[in-house]
Amino acid sequence: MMETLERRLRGMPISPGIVIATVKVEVAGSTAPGIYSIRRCEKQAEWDRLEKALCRTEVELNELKARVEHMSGADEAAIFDAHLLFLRDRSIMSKLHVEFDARMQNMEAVYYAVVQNFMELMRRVEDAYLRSRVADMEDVLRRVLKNMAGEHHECPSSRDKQPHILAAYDLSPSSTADLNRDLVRGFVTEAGSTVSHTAILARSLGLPAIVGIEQLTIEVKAGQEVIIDGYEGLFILNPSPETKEEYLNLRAEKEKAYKALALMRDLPAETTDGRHIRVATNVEFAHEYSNITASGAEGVGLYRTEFFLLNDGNMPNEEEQYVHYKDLVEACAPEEVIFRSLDAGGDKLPFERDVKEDNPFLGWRGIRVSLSRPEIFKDQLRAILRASAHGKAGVMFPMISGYTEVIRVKKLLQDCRDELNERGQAYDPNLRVGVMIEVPSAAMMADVLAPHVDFFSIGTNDLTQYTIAVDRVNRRVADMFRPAHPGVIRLIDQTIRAGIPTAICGETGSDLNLVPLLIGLGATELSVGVHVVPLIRYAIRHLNYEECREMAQLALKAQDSSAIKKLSREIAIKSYPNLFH
Amino acid sequence: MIKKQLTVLNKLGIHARPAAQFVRTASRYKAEVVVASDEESIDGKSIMGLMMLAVGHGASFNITVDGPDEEESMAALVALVENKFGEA
Repeated sequence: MMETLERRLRGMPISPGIVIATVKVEVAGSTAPGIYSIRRCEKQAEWDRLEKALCRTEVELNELKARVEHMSGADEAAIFDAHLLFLRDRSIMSKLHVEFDARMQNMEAVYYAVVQNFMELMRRVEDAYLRSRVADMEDVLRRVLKNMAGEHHECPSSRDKQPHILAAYDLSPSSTADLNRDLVRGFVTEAGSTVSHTAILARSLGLPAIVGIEQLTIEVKAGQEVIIDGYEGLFILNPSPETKEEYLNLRAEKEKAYKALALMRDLPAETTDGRHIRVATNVEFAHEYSNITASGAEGVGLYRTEFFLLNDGNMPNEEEQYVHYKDLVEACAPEEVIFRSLDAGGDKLPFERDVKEDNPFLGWRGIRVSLSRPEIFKDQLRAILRASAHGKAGVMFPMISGYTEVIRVKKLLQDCRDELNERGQAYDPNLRVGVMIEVPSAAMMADVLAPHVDFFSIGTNDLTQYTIAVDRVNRRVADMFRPAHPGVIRLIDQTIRAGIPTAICGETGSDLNLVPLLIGLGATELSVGVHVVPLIRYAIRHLNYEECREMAQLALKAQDSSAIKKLSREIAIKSYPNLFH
Repeated sequence: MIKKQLTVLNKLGIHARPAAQFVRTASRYKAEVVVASDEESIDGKSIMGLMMLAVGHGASFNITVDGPDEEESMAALVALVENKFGEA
């Protein structure tokens, strides 16, 4: 028999975790119902069947809404309000009456045709948000048809008694909420984006998930064994025994560590020789707030404001931003929340759609956009300042390349403080101000920048990309992307030696192999994904700072990334072996 | 029958959520509601209709309310639009 080969597909990780299981494939969309003619005397019976199906669907949707409300709050549950209104919409119903009388066909066939018709109209609406509501209608249609068939509506997977991974072209928010949590251990889809409702719901359900996997529904076969690596966005078909073992280990590591670590939430993140390292978390979505304190994180080291600002194609104003930021600050008080000002390419701004650049990563993005649109920038700064009055907040700026930008940013920040004084609105005068170090020139100029700011935060992903000049999503050069490259490590060292508090907020900070190196170089803070916080704190509590320092000095003289990684990993394995096995 | 011109004040215009609120409010009264913008007019008690009308921020539209409780219905709808559908 021929051996089945391992295949790896990539997508966007939307919810972390590792699952190994067999896969079930869900055929997407509603299939057109059969068509047959009916007689005049059967008309009332057809309407009765429809009414029954609508009632049953209404009950289902209300149950679903209550469930989501319970899990994720009223805001997420409001998604289903539109579903409920579609169900008995007067435009749909009156069209249905006309068509039913004209066609004299079975109700599901007419209903299907009418709703398809409305969906088609909806797809042509200019507004992207409204267009995306087609998925909601499709969802309602699918449920009504199922209920008309007399078959009790089942979620896609409840027939299957084995725990499994669900693969589908797309999952609507309601089928995500519907998943049988005892059996479905994770899901993958071909469509979808990291900012969809589905993504948000997956996280609140705690299901590892990947979306946006190209060719998924073609590649995957039902019943195959698969692995979801929800950390890396990797979906592995027919994993080889080695891969499987690797992932079993990885999963065991995460689970074991978590269990041990849940107990240590209140212990300080201190090395064995008493150096305190702030372990904070990176946050993007509002619904992650509740996990922050549970993880034991000391506040938020990086709040990415892009999702909130750009999510629905309309930038919130100062007041809206203030309310949003204030909620986060209050949720984390007395710990500090560091807000990063808008860090996006100019093409992501709703009012600058026509920006086309040959080299967007070297182009108009991050602070460059903010500085050239000062009114929008100041809305954000004032909102952050005002939020600082409700707890402890800091602000930092992305893509800083040198001194002039720092001075311009600080001037604008001062203008905002003056304006708030005039308005008589409160802010914290001690709000910490920092810059991201992710452009090599900023790292080299760290000693010049340091007197003007309170802290640095090193974005290791961008710093690595810009230092080695390698795009890690370009498959031809991706293997050159090495965060432990000596060039990168020396820039980190140079930054920290400027002598002000320095955080690491990129992925390197959550690489357990490299934590000893970062501590040894003198990083004072690691800001990592909320799920990694307990691991990193555990690691720090088992490290000796002096030993790490000596190792870091050797690493700075090393010739290549593998030598550096080896030095750091030796200490890591010795100090916290149970995070590796 | 009463008629009134209104302007959409909330930032996102009448998208799914405000449309849902509008339909629910209109449906609380007996009076029929017609919403018109430019040359199109739709049933104010239909979410499909409202969403297809796609009224954006700053656009103005006419509401016509007709029925025994038209005064109350109009007052409730005007309040909803003027309060920006409860959005900030």
